[in-house]
Amino acid sequence: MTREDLTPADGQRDSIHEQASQWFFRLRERPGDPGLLAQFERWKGDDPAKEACYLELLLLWDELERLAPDSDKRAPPAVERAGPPAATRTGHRRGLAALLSLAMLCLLAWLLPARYWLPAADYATGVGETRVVELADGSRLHLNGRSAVTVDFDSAERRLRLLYGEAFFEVARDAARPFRVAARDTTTEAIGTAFNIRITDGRVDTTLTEGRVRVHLPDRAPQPLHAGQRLSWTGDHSVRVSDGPGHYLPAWKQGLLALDRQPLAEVVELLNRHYRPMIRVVDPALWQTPVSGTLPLDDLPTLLAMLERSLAVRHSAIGEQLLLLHR
Amino acid sequence: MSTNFYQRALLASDLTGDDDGAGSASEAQQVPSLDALYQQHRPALLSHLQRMVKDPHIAEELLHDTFIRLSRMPALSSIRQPKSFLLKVASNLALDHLRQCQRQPDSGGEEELAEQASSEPGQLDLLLQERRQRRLREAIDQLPPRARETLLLVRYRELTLREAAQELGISQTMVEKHLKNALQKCRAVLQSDMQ
Repeated sequence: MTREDLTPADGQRDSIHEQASQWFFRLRERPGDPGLLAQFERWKGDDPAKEACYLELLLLWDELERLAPDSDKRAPPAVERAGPPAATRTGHRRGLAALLSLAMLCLLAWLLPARYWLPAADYATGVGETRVVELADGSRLHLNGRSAVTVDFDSAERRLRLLYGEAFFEVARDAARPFRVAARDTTTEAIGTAFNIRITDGRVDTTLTEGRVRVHLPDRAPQPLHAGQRLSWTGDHSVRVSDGPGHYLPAWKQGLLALDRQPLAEVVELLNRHYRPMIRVVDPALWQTPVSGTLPLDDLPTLLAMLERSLAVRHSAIGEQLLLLHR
Repeated sequence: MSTNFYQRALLASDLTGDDDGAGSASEAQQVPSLDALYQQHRPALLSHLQRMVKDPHIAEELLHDTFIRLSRMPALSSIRQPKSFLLKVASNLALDHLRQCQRQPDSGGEEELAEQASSEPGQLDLLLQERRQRRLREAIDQLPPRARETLLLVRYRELTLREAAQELGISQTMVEKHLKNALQKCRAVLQSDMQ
């Protein structure tokens, strides 16, 4: 093709596209720079063609995310990912597809009131709601926000299942009927005792306050716990037992969230059991940021101020239902 | 209760905006503009999404996801005619969702999709989007190795150009050149496909 074959309009368009991509990368590098933005606006002027080229580029960049090969992506937690999936059609990615459907289910779980989708939870709480229930045997069940439990007592055992969320159990002594709480594929068995179980995206944490429990895990010998100990069971089937404070009372019972180097993505999952608007971390670089310390579960402005001060995490309210965290 | 929280949150964000330095004040400006976009276009986007996914809860969630995506896009506040662009971003997310729904009962894939194409109106858009994605994937596969590597690094790991330059051991100018090259190739492939 010779130069003459190219109509002037085409050539001009191409150069606009090139300029647009240059602007895009510059602005992406320094999104908060007012001077740069002003220069960009001067370049764009009133020209709808320039604006269209820039938007076409944004769209292309957005679409590229859908093609992400699994290995090149940081895996964010399912709840965070529930919205923008990046699945592909090829057969060997069925696993990813399954994972994404799971994410979709999680999303549904978030959206629909519990009664629509749960296998008949006996006790459930919504976002920001906590509840104490006295059970038939005198045991007390403390439900954290957005949590659900089924209860099934008979003459041989007291069987409960934590469907999702977090609960603290104060078990009445009854040597003849063991008290068993299932959470995902774990079962915690107690005689007279108090313990807390929390389900998060990648983990089940069982923390013992007093007495003793045995935690049954698939393909393993039962794991005994002493008071104050916490057992973490992750999706890749690894177990970690750590020592907490001697007499553990779950912080959520006091309207607090106690954290020890937990990734921000996970922290936000826990916060969303208590807060409206829903909080989302939009900046992937922040997902793994470790958070330590104590955050309030009933005071949004303080929470946001703390995040901003200690992690340099900013927030933006989008409408009334969404709060974005970013750098 | 939640409105009260929200108002206090707004108040807090005003306060923090005030006592921040000059550099971050600009970022605080960027935020209200996204909120302004939300306020202005929410009804149109929501009804569009509801038509596509036929479920108000899911439409609302997709609207959130739309704005999460938008929050990562620079200089949107400078756009004079953003509406059709916003609709497009939202539609893409809705199509992603519809595709997932179809995949749930482990279906046979494209042949089946094509069969359904006539019965449901959204199907045509789905097929078009998939075709675009296939073309894009091919375009990326055919990039020179260095350009491809750079694109993957910057796009999927969300690195800045500076970070990518460090990781690849090349100059920032070179990173930008690779990226511009990669995007032009992608664009060219999509355009030739349309004709």
